Amino acid sequence: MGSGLEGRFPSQDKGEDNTASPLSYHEILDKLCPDYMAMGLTYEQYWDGDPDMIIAFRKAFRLREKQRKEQRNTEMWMQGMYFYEALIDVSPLFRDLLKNPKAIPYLKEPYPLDKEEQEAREKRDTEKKDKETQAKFKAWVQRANRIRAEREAKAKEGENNG
Amino acid sequence: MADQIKITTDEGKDWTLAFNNRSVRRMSENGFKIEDVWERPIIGIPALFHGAFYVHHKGITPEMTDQIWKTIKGKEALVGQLVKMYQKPVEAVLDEPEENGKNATWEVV
Repeated sequence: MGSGLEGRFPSQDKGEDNTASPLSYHEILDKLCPDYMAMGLTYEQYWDGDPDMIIAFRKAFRLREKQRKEQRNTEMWMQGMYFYEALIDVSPLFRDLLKNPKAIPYLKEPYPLDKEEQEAREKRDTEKKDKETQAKFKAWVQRANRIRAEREAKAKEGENNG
Repeated sequence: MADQIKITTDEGKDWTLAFNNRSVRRMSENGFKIEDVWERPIIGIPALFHGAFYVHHKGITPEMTDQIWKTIKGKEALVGQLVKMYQKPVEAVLDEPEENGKNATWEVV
């Protein structure tokens, strides 16, 4: 040590074994350094950083880990839902009593992840249904007009012939 | 931001006292134990005081810190604050259990 700390410390003066106690401060700090580096703290940040920064870093790490676990948990749950739905969809194929077993088509797209997406999809589906209904109605009107026109034409033809 | 102590001497020179992991490690490795402050205060307190300079004033000698120490008023309160500051880095790295209502409690009896 360069700046005169040697001989300043009581246990050094008495020639005591500094490692006799369970864990001295430097041993604790040495031991935990790799743990903090594994969390993402740099060597310099760990040794020279503000203690409050280290506390904040550990809390942030915990928070990140919690969020990661929650996300993973949700993903796993979601996967289970997809398996569950897929099994239901193919289950008709495994029923002996059905004469013409037919699987239900699997989902065309993943589940919506949030309310916003859910509402957007509902809106989109409603608009699609409305367009289909309009198209059907239009086709029905056109067909009805055509039939009426044909009938009228036939009636006129009959009058002309008669 | 962890606690720091600013000392201004008669000559107008400012000194900042602080601890971080490196300075605590250095002191501990050199044999300093916090118990020395009350068990062997004659050498424990100067060692703690001197070590508090390391973060911001690496080159300072024990003679200089002893000189500053002599001129300081309110030594008892200063030592109490330095003890707290010395322990902070180690407390900071030791993981506290999460508050979940299932923590063990302790008391002095």
